[in-house]
Formats: sequence, structure tokens, C-alpha cells
Amino acid sequence: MIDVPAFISALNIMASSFSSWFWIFPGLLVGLVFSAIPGISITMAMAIVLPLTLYMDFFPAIVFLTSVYTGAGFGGSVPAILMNIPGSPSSFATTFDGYAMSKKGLHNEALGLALFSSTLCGIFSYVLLLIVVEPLADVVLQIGPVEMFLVAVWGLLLLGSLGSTYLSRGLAASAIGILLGTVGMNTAGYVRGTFGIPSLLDGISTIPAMIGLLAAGQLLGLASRDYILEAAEARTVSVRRILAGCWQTFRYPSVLFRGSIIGIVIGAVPGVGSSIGNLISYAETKRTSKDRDTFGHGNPKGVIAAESSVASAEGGSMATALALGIPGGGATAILLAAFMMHNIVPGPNFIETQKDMVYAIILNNIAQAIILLVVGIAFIYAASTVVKVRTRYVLPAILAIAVMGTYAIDGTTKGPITLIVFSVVGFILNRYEYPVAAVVVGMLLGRMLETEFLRSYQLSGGNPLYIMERPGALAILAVMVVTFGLTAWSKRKEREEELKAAALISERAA
Amino acid sequence: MQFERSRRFIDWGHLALLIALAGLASWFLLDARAASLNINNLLLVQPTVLFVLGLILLIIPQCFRARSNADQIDAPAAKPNVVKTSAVALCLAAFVFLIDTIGFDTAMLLFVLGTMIICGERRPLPLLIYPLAVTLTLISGFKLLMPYPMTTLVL
Repeated sequence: MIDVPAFISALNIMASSFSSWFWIFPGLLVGLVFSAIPGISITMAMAIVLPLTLYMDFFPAIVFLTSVYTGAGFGGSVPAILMNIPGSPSSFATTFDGYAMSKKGLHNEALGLALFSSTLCGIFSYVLLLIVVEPLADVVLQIGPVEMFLVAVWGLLLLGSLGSTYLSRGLAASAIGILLGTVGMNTAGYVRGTFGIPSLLDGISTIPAMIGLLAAGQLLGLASRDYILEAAEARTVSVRRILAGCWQTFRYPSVLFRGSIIGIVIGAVPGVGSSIGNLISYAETKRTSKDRDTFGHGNPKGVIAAESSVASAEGGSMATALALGIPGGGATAILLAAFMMHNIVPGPNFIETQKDMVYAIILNNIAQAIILLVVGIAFIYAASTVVKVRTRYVLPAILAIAVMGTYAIDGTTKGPITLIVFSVVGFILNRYEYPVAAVVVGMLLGRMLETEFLRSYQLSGGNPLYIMERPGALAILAVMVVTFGLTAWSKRKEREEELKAAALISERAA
Repeated sequence: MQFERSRRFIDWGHLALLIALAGLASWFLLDARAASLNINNLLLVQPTVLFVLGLILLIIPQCFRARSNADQIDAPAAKPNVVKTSAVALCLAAFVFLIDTIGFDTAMLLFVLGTMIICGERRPLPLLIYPLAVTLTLISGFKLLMPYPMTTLVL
């Protein structure tokens, strides 16, 4: 499957372009720092550095941007683990067990696990991409609106069923998120739920809403604590323990492999991948584990499952971008813009005529992931020191950054006001055990769900049996029904066991 | 927010939340239907609203719970300090709503100072230096990063 002459030519490109190696470290650092700041997205980080690449040669420019992308892929997990605030939507599932580990004083190990699972699976996904980049293009071309709609629904159902003790509250949170995501003008031009406010025509700003929903439960709650982690012994930052966490990753090869495959496949679906892959991987790992009761309470497998999928989704997303010229999300859209700035149009023709360049880009991504293993440990060490600083200093600074970050989206106070409104909403939802993460993902995907549903409806002419003509969609639907049914069943069983245990305790007490 | 009635508790707060959610979801559906009854408008919205309303009906019985469960949820150890949390939330709201009036720099300086005091800082030197340092760093950093103008009073 690998074109050997093109592969050798790719190695020559890499060896002769010294400046491209020079840009890897700053790119990784920019990606790590920006994605670790809640509110500053990978897309924004790449948009900020994009003009710098205008005067670079093509290959170093792409290396710099992909380094930002690679760094950002891991950076989002740092605030997710330390503060329960995902730096990016793709780090949601990392919070479930990552933050629980932090609360137990295992933040060093959790960060080590996240770094190694992220980078190892990133490397694996790019190696696989190197082999299958051409056939993958054919597969991705088969993905239509029905498949995209079903993948998004699958992710939402899983998140709704995972994020709360109560299945009904989780599903309600997902559905409310979808409704919030459909506020404003839809693709068919109809305006709903705007209260007559013109700025809501474009919908609710998702990033400020996301920070607001998550900040309420977490950041504001920190006001009553002296430190992020209350126990003094839990606040240690130790390279030895970070490395122990890194090493622990190798104990779970099956979790790594499953997360990678899910990440690559889901990541290749344009527009859906990054937000959903981590949830599906987490849900599958939980469902198939014997110790699934400990998930959400600091099980290392939860961190590995989520992070392995996030990094692999990058590979999948990159495959779609290179092979078809279709961006998987905002970040890959900027990457494609950089291609265009150098008069290169990615797609099947690009792969056919410049295979050596495609291989060089993929190989450089592998090199970036290897370098990230070292840079990441240093970054984790520096970022972890936040747990040693008193909340009276950390809290105002983070909240001020969050407000500035939301203002930076469009330069209006719409972002900061959305942040405040959703802080209140998040606080109330948290109080009554509704998973706010489900609301956020629902919001992120609401508009896309509606668009894809409309397109599916138009393509099928309103005939539901159209799905029978889409084997891919049928397969997704079957997997979705099975996994959701199993999750619901195991949840019901858990509740029954809890009730039995409670009855036993009260009998003994009587 | 909970009221004991014989052996069960009624979680009034949760019940109020569910009523509010049901009201908002119904209003959203009515607003969408008022915009147009075309299927291109209601294809996703209408079934989702009905799904939400159905789930709310399923959740309502959870507001009527046995005493032991309610006690567990309201355990004082599980609750953060509501006064401090609310004070910081109010401070944040004031910061956001004052941005256009007194500028990012002054609003941020006051916000950082206020939050530090709420969180327990009483030493004058940190109260003087830290808010200034945060404001200077963030305002100058974001001015460099952002392509948009930023209202400021001094910086």
C-alpha cells in the first residue's frame, strides 16, 4: 500500500528542509499553551499563527501549523484533569476519570497517562494513515448526511447515558443542548427562539456557553477552597510520578488499540469526529470492562480511552483533509487555508500527483508526536504547579482569561454575557445532577444535526426506507442500538444492585 | 429547598427547574411553529421538544424522594460555600457588565481585587501588586493577539 519511491522522496524532503524541523518546537508550545487556556480554541490558535506562515515555504508552513494542531490535541487535557474544565470540546471524556484521579491526588499519574496515550495513539494513527490514506478517501466519500447524522446522534446518546447517574436526566440534558444549538436561523432560513435579539440570529456562541456551563460548577465552586486540591499531600508535582503514569499506559494495550481505531474512524467523519470519538471510545471501554463500576471515580482506563481517541481522531481528520480536501473541523479548515495560500489544493489529485509531499506531512506528524513525548512532560510539570498556587490568585486570573477569551471570539460583549448566562444555567443543572457536558456537546452539534437531518430528508424525499439503501448508515444504526441498549441495561442493573444494597443496610440497621 | 411531607421529600427546586424547562421547551416549539409550519423548520425541533417533554414527565417522580436519599443529597459536606460562590459570581457579572462603561482595564483590576478579597486575601501588598500584574499582562497580551479594538480607560 505504501508507494516506496514516494516514501523515499518524502524522507528526502524532510532531510533537506532544515527550517521545517526548527518550527516543530514553537508550534507544539503554541498548541499546548493555547489549548490549555479554557476559551482559546485550537482553531483560534491556528488562526492567530496562520499569517506568520504566509512568508514561509510550503513545507515548513504546514509543519508549523500541524505542530500547533498536535500540541493542542494534548494540551486540552491538562485543564480537564487539573480543574475539570476541558480546554477543548474533544477533552470532555478526559474529565470523567482524569479529574476524579486529581481529586485523589493522582494528577501527576493522570497527566502522564493522558500524555502517553495521546502521543502513542497519535503515532499509531499516522502510521496507519500512511498505509491507508488512499483507500480511506474512497471510504470517506461514501459518508453522506444520513451517516453523519447517525454518528452525531450516537455520540449524544452515549454522552447522555454516561454523564449522570440518571439516564433520563442525561438524555434530557443532551436534548436540551440540541435545542439550544438550533436557536437562531437554520440552514433553510427559518428563525426560532431568538427573543428578537439580532445577535442570536447566528445562534448561541458555543465557546462562551461551554465555558459558562462548565465554569459555574467548577471554577466558581473553587471560591470556597484554599487550593484547587484540598489535601496538602495531593498537591505535589513530581516528574517521577508523571513518568510512572506514562509507564502505566503500557498496561492497557487493548484500551489503547480500541481508542485508536474508534478515533481514526470517527475522526475521519467531517465535522463530527473530534467531539464524539472520545465519548464513544470511553463508553465502549466502560461497557466492556469488568471494573466498569469504578469508571467516573478515577479509573486510569477512562483517561486512556478518552485520550487515545482524541489523538487518533487527529489522524483521521487529517486523512479527510488531505485525501478529499474536506475539513474535519475548524482547525483542519485553517490547515486547508494554508494549503490554498501556497496555491495547493488538497484532494484526490493532490494525493495522486504529490504523494511524496503527503507522505512527508504524515511522517513529520509522527516526528512531532515523538517530540511531544518529551516537550509534554516539561509542559505538564510547569502546568501542574497551578495546584500549588492558592485559589485566591488562580481563580480571578482564570476567570479574567475566560472573559477575555470569550470577548476575543468576535470582539463584542456577546461572548462575556453568554458566559455569565450559561454560568447560572450550569450551576443549576449541576445542582440537580444533569450532565452539563451533554448540554455542551448537544449545543455544538445541534446545528449540524439539523442540517444533516434536513439534507437526509431532502435526499430521501421523506421516505424513511431510504436508510435501507445506505449500508453504512444501517451498520452505524445497529451498533448504536446495541451499545445504547447495553449501556441502559447495565445502568438499570447498577441501580437495582444499589437499591438492594440500600435495602440490606436498612434491614440490618432495623 | 426541600419540604418534608410524611416520609417523603418534595424537591421543590428540582420541580421548579423541570417546570421552567418544560415551559421554555414548549415556548421554543410554539415560537418555531409561529415562524413556519414547513417541515424544513420543524423536522428536528418538534420531535426534540416532544422528547424533552416526555423525559420531563419521566423525571418528575424523581422530585418525590425517600427521606434518606434527600438527606444524602443535601449533606452539608457536599455543598460548597454558597455565599463565597455567589459573591464571586456577582463580581464576575459586574465585571462583564461594566466592561463597556469603565473599560476592560479598570473592570478587570476591580474584579481581580474583589475576588481576591472574597477568597480571603487581606494582605495589602498582594492586593496591590497582583491585580495590577494580572491586568497589565492580560490587557497587553490580548491587545497583541486580538484583531478587535478593546475599550480601556488607562492602558
